[in-house]
Amino acid sequence: MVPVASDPTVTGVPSTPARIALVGNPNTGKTTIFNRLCGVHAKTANFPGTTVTMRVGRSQRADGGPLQVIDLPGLYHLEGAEADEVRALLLGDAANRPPDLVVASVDAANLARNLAFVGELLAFGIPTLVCLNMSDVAERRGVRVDPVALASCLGAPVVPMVASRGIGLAALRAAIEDALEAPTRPEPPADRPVAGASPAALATWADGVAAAAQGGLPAAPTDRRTDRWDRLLTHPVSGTLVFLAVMGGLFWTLFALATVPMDLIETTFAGLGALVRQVMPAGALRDLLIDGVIGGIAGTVVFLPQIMLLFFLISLLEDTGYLARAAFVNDRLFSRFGLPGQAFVPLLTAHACAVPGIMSARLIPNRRDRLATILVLPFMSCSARLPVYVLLTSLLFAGRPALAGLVFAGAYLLGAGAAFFTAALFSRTVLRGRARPMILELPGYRWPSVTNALFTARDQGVAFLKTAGTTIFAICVVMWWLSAYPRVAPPAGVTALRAEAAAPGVTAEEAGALTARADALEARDAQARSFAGRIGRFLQPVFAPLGYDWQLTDALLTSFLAREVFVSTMSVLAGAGASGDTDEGVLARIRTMTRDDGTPVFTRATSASALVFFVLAMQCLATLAVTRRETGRLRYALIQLGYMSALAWVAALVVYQGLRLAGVQ
Amino acid sequence: MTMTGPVIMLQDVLVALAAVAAGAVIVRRLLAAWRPSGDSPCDACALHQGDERR
Repeated sequence: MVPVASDPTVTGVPSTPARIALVGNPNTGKTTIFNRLCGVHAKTANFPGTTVTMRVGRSQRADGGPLQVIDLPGLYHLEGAEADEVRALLLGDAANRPPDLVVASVDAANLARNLAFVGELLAFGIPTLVCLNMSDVAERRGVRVDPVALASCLGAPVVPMVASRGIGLAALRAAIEDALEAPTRPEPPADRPVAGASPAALATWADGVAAAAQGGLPAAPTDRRTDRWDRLLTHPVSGTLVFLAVMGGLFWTLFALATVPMDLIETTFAGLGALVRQVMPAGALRDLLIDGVIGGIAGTVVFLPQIMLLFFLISLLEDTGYLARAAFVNDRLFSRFGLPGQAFVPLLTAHACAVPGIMSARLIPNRRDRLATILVLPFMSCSARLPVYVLLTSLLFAGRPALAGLVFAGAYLLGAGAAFFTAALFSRTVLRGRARPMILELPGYRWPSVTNALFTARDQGVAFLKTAGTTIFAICVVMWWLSAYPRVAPPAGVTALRAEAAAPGVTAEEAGALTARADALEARDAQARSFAGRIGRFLQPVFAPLGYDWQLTDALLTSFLAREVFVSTMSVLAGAGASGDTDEGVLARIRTMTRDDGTPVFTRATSASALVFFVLAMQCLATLAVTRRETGRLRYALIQLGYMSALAWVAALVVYQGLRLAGVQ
Repeated sequence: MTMTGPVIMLQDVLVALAAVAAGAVIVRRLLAAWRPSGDSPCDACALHQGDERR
């Protein structure tokens, strides 16, 4: 036995808390193991000075001491530009100490391929514990791995596991404890690969080890059931149809299931507003609290159920192995439009946020391919657009979840379609050339983990709420102030109506109606003459052909800071413009907003036009800044802004005017 | 309950101050967004993050 601590290049400087890193090929259940070890104590983070995004969690050692667990992204190799940062993290550098132990998650059903990566870890002298995961899937496929033989071949401890069901968790904890407590390992076998070994040499070594651990049986017999499913799901026609059906079903579920919690949130915030109205005396502070703060936050929080549900469902889909098939189906499209196969990861990431999407485009080695991906990437519907889509589709099809879901899915497809159209256009003009094809491994099918999906939904929900805490909150306060000031004297019409209501001989019912009309007129007049009204009116001519009044124009302007601000701005404007003490839900308030002439702000044509505008417009300063930085030129950020804004304006114009001509109002 | 004139005016001043403070937060975020400080996605997007910056 060789004490690991005697080799400083392996362990670095020991310090507390103990730190372990989870590594392995993609789809080997690392995140499931992570969740089993850490439970809810996790957050997403970056190591200083790197772009490697990972989850960092807390667990407990046998003696009650802290154990830090790091879930690193899935990798096939430790060599190559994309693995540079992960390798530096595992070996340690000036900014980060190396982990005390690396737990390599290995798919027992695909042992040989997974072991090539383990071989690299061992070659670098990284203290490694192998977690032989998905042993049940392997057994179903007739693959029997002997963990003792495998450990002997590797010169590292091996723990068999079925992480999705928690089987082997206690043994894993014990093995981690043993490795940390007595940092020793068996003498490395003579045939262990050396650092810098070629992929071919690693593959040959891994084949040999896998064969020995499987008692000389062939590495992985083919799974006929998987093949049958793959033929259906990756077929050009049936694969595309299934993809469309899955996405349609996903969005329908989103609308159908989220209604109940959304109603609950609306009622709660409306009740909160009513309570504040009762306990606080009338005045500017009360208005700020009710219309600015509560109204604005409600307009954001109400969409939390849909966002969490979407990520919950996507996580379930990812776990089943279907998303990899969807990538395969979509890759055929990619190459036709001049996008590289590797663009799938950045484009998928962009559905959460364009910023990490653009940064993950660093994985694309060819500059032309990388530029094409970065330029079209913000067309993908990021999570900041979600609340806007939800609001506008709810306004378009209230109480009809199937239609709303369909239009919602259509918004995603429109964004993706615009990205491909633009990629094709650019590859024939500013970025001439053909993209490189993608090589993708299809993981085996398996039952999804509800626990993983719940954690993902929680992480996304928390991330979304954090935006409500700062930028949105600040904008709500400013927007409320801009729409409430300067205070102006009521117009003559209002004074006349009030005088009429107070005149003798007028019944209480008539007086009430007259006062309500006077209140509505006064609120509308005050808002139209407010600072927000003036700014919106000044810029409204630009958006008038798209059917937008000054209020929608204001919301478009503020949404340049962050798209979801659109909803809270509309909510604040709706609250400030509401006559009397209305305590209806935020959606109902926005739905009943009126223009200066008393007609509704959101007609079918206007809602559809705004939806198209939001799908296509480049309304995110952070994305522009990252485009400038990643491309190294301000020119590309300006091309992105100019092109996307122009396309959005023209498309929204066509939709609005087309619907009007067709008689849809 | 009704408020007297000076109290109303004080409230106007207070909400104006709140709006200015909120405006300063927005400007700070805008500047930070245009000049990403770190090399991580979270640092790069100053608009979509809470107060838990690393």
